[in-house]
Amino acid sequence: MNNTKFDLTGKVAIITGGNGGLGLGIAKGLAIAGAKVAVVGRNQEKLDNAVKELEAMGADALGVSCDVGSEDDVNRMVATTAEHFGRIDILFNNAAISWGIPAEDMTLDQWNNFIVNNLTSCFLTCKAVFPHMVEAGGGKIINVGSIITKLGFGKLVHYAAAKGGMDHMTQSLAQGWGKHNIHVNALLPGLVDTEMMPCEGPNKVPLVDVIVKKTPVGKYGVPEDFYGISVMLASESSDFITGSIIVMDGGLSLAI
Amino acid sequence: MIKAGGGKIINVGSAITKKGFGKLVHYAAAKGGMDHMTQSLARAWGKDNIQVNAVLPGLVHTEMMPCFGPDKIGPVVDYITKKSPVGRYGMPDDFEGLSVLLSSEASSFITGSIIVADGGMTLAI
Repeated sequence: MNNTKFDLTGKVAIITGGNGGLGLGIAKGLAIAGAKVAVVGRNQEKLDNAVKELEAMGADALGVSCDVGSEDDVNRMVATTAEHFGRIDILFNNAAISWGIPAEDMTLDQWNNFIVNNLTSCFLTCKAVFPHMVEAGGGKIINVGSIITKLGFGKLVHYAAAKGGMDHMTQSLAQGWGKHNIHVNALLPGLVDTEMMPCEGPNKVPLVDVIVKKTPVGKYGVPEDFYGISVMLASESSDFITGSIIVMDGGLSLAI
Repeated sequence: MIKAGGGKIINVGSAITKKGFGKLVHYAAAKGGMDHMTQSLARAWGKDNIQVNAVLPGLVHTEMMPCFGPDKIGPVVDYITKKSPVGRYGMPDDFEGLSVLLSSEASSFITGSIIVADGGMTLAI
């Protein structure tokens, strides 16, 4: 996309959960458009590998270890990034945890753990980057939700609740921070081949074939599919888009 | 599009389908039809590698809706601009990026999506 409106040269992006899967895909897409990228995750080995992959593409990349459910850790991560790159323009809230537990079997501790990691984390990162974005004259926040908020899954009530909270947080943050030239949007992926949801190989999620058959585009997504929309939402080309919740699922949520 | 091996259809709807306007029932009905036509066409033509999406603009300065100059559509422009999180109306070139995205390979995993591009206007009351 060699349109100047997609150019991210000089911009600095934070991608939580950026050390693998969809997050690393997003980081690569932003790097191709010229952004400096800070990838954030808990697993140091995965972080080191992600930084190596990004640097091999010629990107200016930083790996920051962080538990996004911890306020102190998030504040330290944001301060480290700002110190290293000198500014923060873009935040992708992509870190998430998910596995199925029926609500009737779930303990409160389990529930709280899902909400903290999938929803409270998003509040903490947004709050922490806010002063940096104001200082930079504006910013772009992209919350990576899930098409689960357009569907229902009986064993993922906790995940759906967290992601639903994220969708509505997106709309109200957009309304609240528009005056600061900060645009906040949500991206709702469908099935994407990642470590969390392997679509090939020995750990393949059993539902993959059913989902692919139901999906209008007839395939599952891959992280590279998200390059374009990530760059669009992170760049000047989305300056009139805020509070939008964009489904990106190959049409899966239309099927029954 | 079938002959070309696939295609991209973008239906330009209106953010009106997220709101209500008493004097525009006809327009809202037509644009609402377009939103849902988008979803069902996407599902039907996915197998032909045709992706169908809708873009819903808010207030954009055009000949149909002049937002400044002698033909300015009136106080509604100032009202909407004030309510809008981005604090302005749109210009045609605001749609360059989204149009390229939805017309290119970069959106091959996006179909049946209805994308509001209104500067946040529909979030306001």
